[in-house]
Amino acid sequence: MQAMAKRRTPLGLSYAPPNVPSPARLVPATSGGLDVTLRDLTACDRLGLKGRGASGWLSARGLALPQSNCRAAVSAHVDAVRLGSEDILLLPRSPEHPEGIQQLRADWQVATDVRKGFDALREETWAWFHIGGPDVFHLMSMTCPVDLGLERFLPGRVAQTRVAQMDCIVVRSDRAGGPGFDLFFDVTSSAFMRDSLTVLASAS
Amino acid sequence: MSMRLPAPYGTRIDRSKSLNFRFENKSFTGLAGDTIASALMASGAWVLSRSFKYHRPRAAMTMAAQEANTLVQVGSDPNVPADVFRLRDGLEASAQNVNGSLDWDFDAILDRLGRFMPVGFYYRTFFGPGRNAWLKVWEPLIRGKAGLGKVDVALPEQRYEKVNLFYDVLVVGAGPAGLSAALEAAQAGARVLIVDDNPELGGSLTYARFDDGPEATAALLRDLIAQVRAASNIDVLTDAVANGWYADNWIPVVTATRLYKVRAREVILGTGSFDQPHPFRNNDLPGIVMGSAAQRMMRHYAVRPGQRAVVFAGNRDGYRVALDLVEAGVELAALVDPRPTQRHGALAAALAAKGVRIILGGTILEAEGTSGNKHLRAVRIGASGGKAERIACDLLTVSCAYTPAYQLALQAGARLNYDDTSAQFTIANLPAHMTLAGSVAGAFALPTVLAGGRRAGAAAAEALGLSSRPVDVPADDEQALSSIALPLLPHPKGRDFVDFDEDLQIKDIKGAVAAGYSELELVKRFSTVGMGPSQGRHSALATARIVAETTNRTVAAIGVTTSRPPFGPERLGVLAGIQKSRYRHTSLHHRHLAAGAQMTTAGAWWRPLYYGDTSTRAAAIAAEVKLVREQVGVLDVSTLGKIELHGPDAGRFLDRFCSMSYAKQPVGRVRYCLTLNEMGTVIDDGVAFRMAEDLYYVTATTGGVDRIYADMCWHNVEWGLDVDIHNVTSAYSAFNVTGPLARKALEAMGGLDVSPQAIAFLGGVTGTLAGCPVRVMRIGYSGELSFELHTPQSCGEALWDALMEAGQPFGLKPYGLEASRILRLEKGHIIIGQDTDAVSTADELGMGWALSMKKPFFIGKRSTELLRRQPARRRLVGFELPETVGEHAGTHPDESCLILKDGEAVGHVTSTVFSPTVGKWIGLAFVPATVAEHDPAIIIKARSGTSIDARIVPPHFYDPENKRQEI
Repeated sequence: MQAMAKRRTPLGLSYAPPNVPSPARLVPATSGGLDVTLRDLTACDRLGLKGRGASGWLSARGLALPQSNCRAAVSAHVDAVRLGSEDILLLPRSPEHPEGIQQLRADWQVATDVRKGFDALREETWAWFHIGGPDVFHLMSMTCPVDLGLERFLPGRVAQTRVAQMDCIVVRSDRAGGPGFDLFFDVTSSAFMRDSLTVLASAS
Repeated sequence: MSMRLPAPYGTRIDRSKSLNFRFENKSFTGLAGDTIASALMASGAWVLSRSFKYHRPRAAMTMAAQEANTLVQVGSDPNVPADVFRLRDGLEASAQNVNGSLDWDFDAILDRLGRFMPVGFYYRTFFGPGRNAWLKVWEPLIRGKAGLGKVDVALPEQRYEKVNLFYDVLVVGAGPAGLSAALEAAQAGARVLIVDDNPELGGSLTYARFDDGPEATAALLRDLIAQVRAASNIDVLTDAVANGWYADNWIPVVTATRLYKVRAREVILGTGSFDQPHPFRNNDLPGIVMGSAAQRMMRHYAVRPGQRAVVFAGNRDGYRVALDLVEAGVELAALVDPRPTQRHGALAAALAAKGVRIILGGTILEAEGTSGNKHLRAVRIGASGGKAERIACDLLTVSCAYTPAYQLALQAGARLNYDDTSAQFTIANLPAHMTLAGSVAGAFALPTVLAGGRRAGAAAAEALGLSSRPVDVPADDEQALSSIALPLLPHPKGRDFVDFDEDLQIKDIKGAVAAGYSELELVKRFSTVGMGPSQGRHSALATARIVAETTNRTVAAIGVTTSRPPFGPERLGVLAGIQKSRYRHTSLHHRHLAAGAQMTTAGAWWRPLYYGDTSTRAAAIAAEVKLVREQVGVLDVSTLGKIELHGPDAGRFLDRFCSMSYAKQPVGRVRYCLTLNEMGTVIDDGVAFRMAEDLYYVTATTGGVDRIYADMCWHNVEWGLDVDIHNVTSAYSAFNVTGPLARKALEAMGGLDVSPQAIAFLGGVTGTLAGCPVRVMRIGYSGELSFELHTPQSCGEALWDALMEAGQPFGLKPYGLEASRILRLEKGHIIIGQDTDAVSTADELGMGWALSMKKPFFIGKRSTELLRRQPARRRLVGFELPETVGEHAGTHPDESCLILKDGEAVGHVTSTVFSPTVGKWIGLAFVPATVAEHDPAIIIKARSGTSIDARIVPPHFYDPENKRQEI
C-alpha cells in the first residue's frame, strides 16, 4: 500500500498536523500600515456538499441547516455555511478541532443514500484565509463592495461577493476574541490574494 | 503694502507660521492655511493665468474653484485650482496657457484679433491654403496652442485608494442647511455622512454676512459644529467632493488621493448656489469678483480685496458685502443697485450711516483696466436719467443672481425649471430617496434655511422608517430678492464675457443662434459654451436667457445642457486606485521557476513557455519537441477547465450540450467534446471521461471554461434535467506525460496498471499514484503515447516530484507551451480561438466527424443542417513550404498573414511554425473551399510584403495514421 502523499497548500503550508498557523500581521507594525492579521487556514479540514440531496442528507442527520447566506452551529464542533439551497460548506467551529468535520466526511463517504449530494471539493477549490485585527474593517472596506461594518455584518453573516477583484465568500467569523472574516476564494489565486491584502494594508 | 486684515479675519490662516513659495519664478511668502491665490493676493499679486482664447489676464473670481481663471501648474500637477489649493512651504507654481510669461504673454495679441475669430470660426477655417494645409499648418499650430498645463509622464507611481462606505443618509454640503439636516436625521437614529469640499464645516456661515451680525453667525456655527461632533452617528468628510450621482444613490466622493464609493439609502443635497457674474465690457478684469469671493478673501484669509471698491448689488447679499467691506476698512466709492427703488431699507440705512453712496437704477457700463488689463482701474456707471459716471476703484464686487448647484439632482433625474418671479432656476421632479435643503432648494433667509434643513433631515429619517419630529419652516423673505434678471445687452466693443473659461461674449451666443443653432445643446457644441472647467456654472443661466430672448422662448423652455458626472475634475489615479491584476498559479508554479522556466501569461494564469535561458530559446524549444518525439516529456496542463457532471441525466445533458454521443459512452472511456453555439460556431473543445454511470469529468480549454460552465448552468436550468454541474478547474492539478517512453515512466512509479490492456487509447481509469489519488486519461495533444494525470491540487507537487524522479532514467523532463504548440501543429490539432474565429463551423475545420447528426438535438445542430445546404465557403487547410526554406529564413509566414490567389486576398494563416520534426515550415490557414479542393498552390504574403509560395497539404504533418498515440 502506498503512503499518502505529502499535501501542500499553494503558499507552502503542510496539511500534516499541526496545520493551523498563528495569526501574523500582513505588514510590520513599524511600517505604519494597517494592523491586520492573516491566517492561512487552507490546510484545515472542511467539507463542501452540493447538489441534489445534500441538504436532505445533512438534515436527516439532525443538523439544522441555517438559511442561505448565514453561518450557524449545527453540532458541537461543526458550523454550516449555507451558500444555496443545495450548497453547504461545513466548517470546524475551531480549526484546531477538525474531528467533527472528519467524522461527517467519513459518514458521508460510506453513506449509501441515493441522494446525498456530491463532494464539492471545497478543500481543494478554495483557499481559506482568516483576517482579523483592529483595522480589518477598514481594510475590507477598501476591497469589498459589501457593507461589512462591525454592527451591520454581524457574526454569522455570509456574503458571496468580490474581494481583491475576484469572487470570494466572506464569512464574519470572530476568532481569537476579536472580529474578523473567513475568506474562501479560488485556491489558485492564493498568492494574489495575500499580495493584494498586503498592498492594501501597506501605509498610504 | 500688506493687504492683510487683522484678526479675527482669517479663520483659515495661522499668522504664526510663514510659508515661502515661488510663483512664476518669483519668491513670495504666505501663511499656513493660505491658498496659493490668497497668499499671492495678500502680496498684491492677483493675476494667476491667461484666458483660453484671447490670453487676457485672469484672477480669482469666486475663491471657490468654480472657474478656470485660477488653474495653475504646481510641480508635476497641471490644472490645480490656486484659489483653494493650500499653500505648502517650498511650493513651486507657474501659470498655464502663456506664451512667454504670465506678465508678458506674446499671445496677448490675440485679444486684438478677436474680429478674426468669431464664434465657430474653427468650423469654417483651416481648409486652406492648399490641400494639406490642415495637416501641415493648422493642426500643428492648434496643437501647440491647445491644452492647459503639462502632464509629467515620468511621474513615479503614487498610491490612490478606494474605500466603500455605507450610510443611511448622505448629506452633500456642510452649510447651515446640510448641518441642520444631518443633525435632524442623526437625532432620529440614522447613520449620517456629511461631505463638503471645504476644509471645514459651515459653508456660507464661515464667510457670508447674515442679518444677526457676525457674532451671532459665529455662535450659530460653533453650536452646529459642536452638535455634529457630539453626535456619534455622524461622520464627516471635508476637502471631499461628491462628484456625481449614479443609480441607487451611489455617490463617488473624491479627495486628493481617495475615491470613496458611498452608498446611501437617502441623499440630502445641501449643495448651495453659485453667485452669478454679470456680462458687461471687461467684466473679466482682475479685481472684479463675486460678492461672496470678497467675503471669502476677508473672512477665510484676512485678505483685503481692495483699497477702493464699488459694489454692484442686485440683491440683499450685495448690501451685506458692502457692509463687510466698509467694516474691513475698504473705502466704498459707491453701491450700485440696478433696481430703481430701494428694497433693503435697513441695510441701506446702515450703509448710509457709514457714509456710503447708493446709486439706484444704476448699471455697470464697462470696466477699465490698468496697463495690459492686469487689474481693475475704474468702472463706468450708468444711471437712469443721468450721465455715465466714471468711478476709480480697484475692486468691483458683483452680487445680482444665483444658480442652484443642481448638478447631482439633475443627474439623479430631477428636472430644471425657471421661475420668472425669482429669476432663478428651480429644481423639480426629484427622484425618491433624494431631498434638497437650503439655497439649492430656493431658500435664502437663514431661519428658513435652518428649518428647511431640519425638515429635510426629518423626511430622510421618516423614509428610513425612523420616527421624526415635525418641523415648521418659516416663510422665506429673501427668495424673491436674491436674483434679478438684468438686461443682457452686448457692448459694441464686446469683451462682455458670458463664459470666462472659453472667452465667449454675448455676441458669440447670439452669433451661434444667428448661425442657426437655436437649441441649447447645439449652441453649446457650436460655441463651446459650458465646455470649460466650470461646466457652465457661471454661463448656463446667462446663455439660457440670451437664447430665450433671441429665439422668443422662455428660459424654462431653453433650460440647461445635460448634466453628467463628474461634477468636478478628478485625477485618473483616483479612478484607477491600487492597480493589481489577478494572477493564478498552478500548484507547480514554484517547481517551474526552480526548473528555470520562462513564464508567460494565459489569461490570469502563469504558465511555463519553455525551460532555459532566453538566449537559447530556440534551441531549448527544439530540444523539448525532440524530447517528446523520442523519449518522454511532461506538460503542466493544470489550467485546463475541469467540470464535473453529476446525476442520472448527466449523459443526456452532454448529448445536448456537445456534438458527439455521450449517453451511451461506456464507463471508463474518454470521448472528444466539441461545443458549438446556436449558430453552429465552434466555441470550445475538450474531452469527457465517464467515471461512473452518473458522473462525467469534462475538460474545457483554459480560456473557455468560464463560458462553458456558465452556459452549462444556463442550459441546466432551461432543460430541467436531473444533473448537477460543478466547476472543479482549480481543484485538480493536471499534467500530460507524453512520448514513446511515457508508459515506462509511469510504470516506474508503480501503483497503477497503465498497460494498454488496463488503459487503452481514449480510456480512463482512477487510482493512486505515488500516494496521490489520480484520474488518468489516455489522451494527448502531441500525437505521442500520452497519459493525462489529474490529481487534487494539494497533491500536485508530490505527484510531480514522484513523476520526475521515476521518469529520470527515461529522460523525462518538463516542456513548455511553445513546444506544445509545435507538437500539436505537427499533428494538425487546432487551438480554439487561434485557428477558429467567431463564425468557424466544424465542417470548415474539417471536424465534421465530431458531429453526431443522428442525435435528435445538440446545440448548433439545426444551424449546421442549414449551413450544409449551402455551398461550402471556406476550409481550414494545412500548408507547407518547400524544405529549401530553412528555419531561419528571413522570409517566412506568420500568423494572420494573408493568402493570395490571383493577387486577391482570399484567406489568412491561423498557425504556422517551423517544425523541427518534419524539417519544414508548416501551418494552418483558411482558404476558400474551391481553392482547398482544386488548387493546392497558394501564395502567402509575408509581413515584409514578400510573396511566399506554399502548398496546401493534409493538416496531419506527422504520423498521419495516428499509430504513435495508440501504442
